[in-house]
Amino acid sequence: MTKILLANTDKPDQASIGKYRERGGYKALEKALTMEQTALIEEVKASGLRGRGGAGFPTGMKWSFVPRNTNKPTYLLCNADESEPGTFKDRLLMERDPHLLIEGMAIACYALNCHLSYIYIRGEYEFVANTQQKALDEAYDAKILGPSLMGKDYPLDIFIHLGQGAYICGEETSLIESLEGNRGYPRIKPPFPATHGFLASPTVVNNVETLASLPWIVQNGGAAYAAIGTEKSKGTKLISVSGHVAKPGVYEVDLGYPLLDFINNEAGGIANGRNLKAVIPGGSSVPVMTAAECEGALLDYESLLKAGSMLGSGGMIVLDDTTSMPETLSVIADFYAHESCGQCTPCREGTGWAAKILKNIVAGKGQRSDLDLLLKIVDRMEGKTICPLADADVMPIRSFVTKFRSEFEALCAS
Amino acid sequence: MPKFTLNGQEVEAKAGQTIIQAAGDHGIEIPHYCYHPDLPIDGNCRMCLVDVEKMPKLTPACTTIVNEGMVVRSDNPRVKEAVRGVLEFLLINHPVDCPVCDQAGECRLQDYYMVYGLHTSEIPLGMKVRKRKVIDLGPMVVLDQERCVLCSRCIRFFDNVTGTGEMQFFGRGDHVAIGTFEDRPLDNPYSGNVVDICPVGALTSRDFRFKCRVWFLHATNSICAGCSTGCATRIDHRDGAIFRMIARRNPEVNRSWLCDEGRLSFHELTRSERVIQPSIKGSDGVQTPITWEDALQSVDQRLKQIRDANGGSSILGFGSPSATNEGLFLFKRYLTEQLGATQFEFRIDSEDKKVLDEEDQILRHFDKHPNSMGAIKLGLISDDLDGIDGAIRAARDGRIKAAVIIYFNPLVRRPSDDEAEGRIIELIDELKYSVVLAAHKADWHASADVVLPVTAWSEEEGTYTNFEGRVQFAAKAIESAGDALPIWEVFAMLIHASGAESRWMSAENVFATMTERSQPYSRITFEQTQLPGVVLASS
Amino acid sequence: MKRAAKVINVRDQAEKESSFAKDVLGPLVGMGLTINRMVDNLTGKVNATIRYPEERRAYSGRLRGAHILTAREDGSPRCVACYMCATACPADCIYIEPAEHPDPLIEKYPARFDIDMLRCVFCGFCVDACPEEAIIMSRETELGAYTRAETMWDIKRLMSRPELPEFGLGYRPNEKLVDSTIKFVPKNKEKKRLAGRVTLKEDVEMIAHVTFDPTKD
Repeated sequence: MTKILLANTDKPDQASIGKYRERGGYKALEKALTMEQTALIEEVKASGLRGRGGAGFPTGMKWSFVPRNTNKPTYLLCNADESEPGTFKDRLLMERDPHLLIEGMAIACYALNCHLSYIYIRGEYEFVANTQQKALDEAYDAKILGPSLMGKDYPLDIFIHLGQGAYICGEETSLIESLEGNRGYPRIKPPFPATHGFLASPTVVNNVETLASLPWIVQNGGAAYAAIGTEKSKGTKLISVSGHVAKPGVYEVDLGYPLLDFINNEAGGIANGRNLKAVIPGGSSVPVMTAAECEGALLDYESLLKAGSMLGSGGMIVLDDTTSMPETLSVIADFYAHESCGQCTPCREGTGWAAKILKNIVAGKGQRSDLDLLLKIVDRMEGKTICPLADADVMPIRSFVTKFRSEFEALCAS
Repeated sequence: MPKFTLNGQEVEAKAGQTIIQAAGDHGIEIPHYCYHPDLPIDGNCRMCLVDVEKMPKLTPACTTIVNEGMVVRSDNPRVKEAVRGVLEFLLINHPVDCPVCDQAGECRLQDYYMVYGLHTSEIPLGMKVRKRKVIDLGPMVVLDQERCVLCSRCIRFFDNVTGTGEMQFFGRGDHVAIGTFEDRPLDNPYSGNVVDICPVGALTSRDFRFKCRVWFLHATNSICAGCSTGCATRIDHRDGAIFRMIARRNPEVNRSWLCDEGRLSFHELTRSERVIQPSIKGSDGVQTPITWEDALQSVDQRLKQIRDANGGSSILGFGSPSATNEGLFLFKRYLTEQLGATQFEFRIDSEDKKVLDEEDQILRHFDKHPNSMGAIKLGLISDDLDGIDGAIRAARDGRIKAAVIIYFNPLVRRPSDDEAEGRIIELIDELKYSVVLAAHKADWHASADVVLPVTAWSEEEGTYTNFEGRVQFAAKAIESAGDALPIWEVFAMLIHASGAESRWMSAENVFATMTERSQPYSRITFEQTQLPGVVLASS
Repeated sequence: MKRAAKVINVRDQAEKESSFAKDVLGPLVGMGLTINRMVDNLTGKVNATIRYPEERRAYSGRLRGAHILTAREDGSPRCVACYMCATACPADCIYIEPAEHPDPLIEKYPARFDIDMLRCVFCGFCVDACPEEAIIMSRETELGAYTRAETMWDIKRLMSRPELPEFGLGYRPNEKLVDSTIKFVPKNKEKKRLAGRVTLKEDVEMIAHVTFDPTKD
């Protein structure tokens, strides 16, 4: 298993710039600065790197949408608003290896001809932001950032912006709105951020993990990165596994690694010798997989899609056979009802309604007809909103209710 | 000009138009709450979802710009089901307190429920999210958060039209509510507009609150007479009383807006007592009632006596910038053609000189009269006299012996108005003979020789010429008080009384004569004075 | 599939059903009933007329008599001044003047609620239209008055109804819809009836409803 992102996270002194450079840090940036900007983008395209925030959109393609000949500045925003329940990979990267992110951002900024960049960190990660800020200060002191990027005539500033604790601000357009000082409401697309983003200028929003992968790609070449993983899902992915496993935590796997092997080997199997009941493989917003569906599933974008779920952000939640699925779903639905920004109707009203129905069911006050009503509600929410938050509520509800209907029915009065 | 297919019909859209606008132009209403033609597009209500071929999801018609060859359906089962779903979502937390809601009868939730919904609610009452009700937001607006559909029209109005940004969303998820910071009152001069644009009963008018259920009201299209902007309005009235005035959309003048002063200006009509019958000063110096026939005979005879004794130039015609063009036209015609009068004026105070001056960048003008430009165009202005002060001086010098004075109480009162009335008293006191045409009673009428009751704005039809020379028609909404007649009718009768031909039967007849005889109005037709009005060619 | 119509010849049918019992006995039986009634009337066993006003006929439970404005438990009117009754009224006899209620959940109440009993046609549309069961009808029909002004019933007159125990409640179609109960005990059905007009007493207990709370299921 290749260690690209977690190569040095286990070393306690990695956060200091001296140790980081000792272990080969900022070499990739040096190399990148000798390359043409367009060549860098081509390299990233060749690597097949896909956005690691959840959607899995090819990074190189995203970059190529940015218009190069405008009189407006280009902005790179690092999305560190890691709020998806079950996901805690970005936190580890920023806490343990903050310079890796800085180096990745510097490479991306150079490739995109961007001179001002922000790291949008979720408000609850204040301690992470402190570590990251310390690393940024070190990078400025070492003259890596600032008026000249590693001595090259290329000014680059990176700032940290602390969010105020809204899940929706992890969506790229509402992250931009929030950064502009507005209410964190997703924008209607088009226009896309690539042309009209932060301050109506071309903007790229990338996840921490995506950006942190860049130094390795530059250092070893896109082809080397593409050699890892499957045909369409290339490279490695951080999986943050939690729930009823013996060894929860963040693991780096080659894409295409078998799901059950991962649970049984890396994560140490189901805790307390119990049996696997279900897996939510990519953060709470993806459809749940039954134990049977996990058979033969691989940890990559295509295989999980085929198995009826999604790789998402890689926030895997493992549920054993003692878990009450209605209660689990009620918690998830409550989360989305609480985090719905309230901008557009189906999500604002639908998430709240669904959460209330589920609460009723869990409290034993539900009816069997409520299950059909739930499915009707999610049908009416799906695909009718500005941003995908409604869909993030739809997928777990629909999959839980259809795949574990008998458990729900057992709680309902007939 | 992209062509596209809408519900199976090929139609043409203007370049850059969105689907909802193009459909509206072709008479197809796509249901919507947040879209408003005069506000920036937001796309949050999701009612306007339409099915566009080659797009996997339904797309909002308010944000999607028409492309050549697009195939759009707003009437297929998929769209109808989606709209019904959104409507059901909007209603689950709505209190459905229509019986006590002033918006009932003109509420978009009710309208669309009857077309797209007709479902039985599936949410028990106890599950609804409760929010605050009856929040006082200043002199114009009452807020009910529960009834709100969170379309953000009010927020966008304050952000983009007035630029004051008083309102905002608070909270998250299904607890989102609109409001002002710490319930601060909305005190900007355009706050009443949010009541008009609110598609539901969340923002209701403080002034109109509980006054009348809207289905009892009759609507008449009019023009606001509060200042020289000439905003298009709709007067809602019942049994001869005006209950409210709301904005009518005229993209050329006021878009969809109206200022608060103008919105409430109709109250001025009922604030003081009305002149209800003609009266004439007897030899004892006391005004006594008289019939219209006798009054007009007497006025015509006395004015002719003065003309014969002192010449036509001794008679002053003092018009009002609040009268209709038709009234002013016949007023001038009678005085010039029957009496040979040459002196005309209408300016009481210096405000009239500011016809073109804007009070703010949105709508309001300093000149609080609806027809100053009309009076100027009709030539009721004299460089010689230069306002009422010149007239008073001329009367003092004996150059002017008699005057016919039209005076209306301004609908938007300013401190300077009392002073202006004082000047009229001064003028009357200097005159040998004075005829006053007024709608409202005033103490100074006692000094006039004849007082004739005339109809005020909203009680007569006619045209007004706004600051930019736009001629607009205002229809008659309510009946006038007592024996009052429109000014054009008074002078039509006077022309008849003085023996000349007088065949005008309506304001429209007078308008036709005016376009023949008055040069500035020569190239326009009566039909053109309807929305959006017609701008006179500058002379 | 079209079914062939069955044609019945009326004359044939009549001849077929004709019999001695039907043609002769039938009228005789009918005549017997008539004679019986005649004998009953002559002997005073049954009276076609009653001695009004000492005696009165029993009216149907849904008779549309004079209106009642019902009250909340605290005695204030249930009416929210929504004008549904005034809108539905074909006789245009209801005049309402709303006012702001201190409780935002009620919001609106009638400061004035007048019914012109001379204009009223007692159609009951107002009761049908009322969303709150704030207006119902009694079985009171004797509304004679000495002056025109007395026929103009105001809110107080419509709410305090001393005559009610005498006549009882009338048309009340929405009883189940609004989920309310009326605390009202009808008087014992005595034969004794008052003649003439019943005068209005000032301090009469109002008819109270159990308040309907929208926040509860």
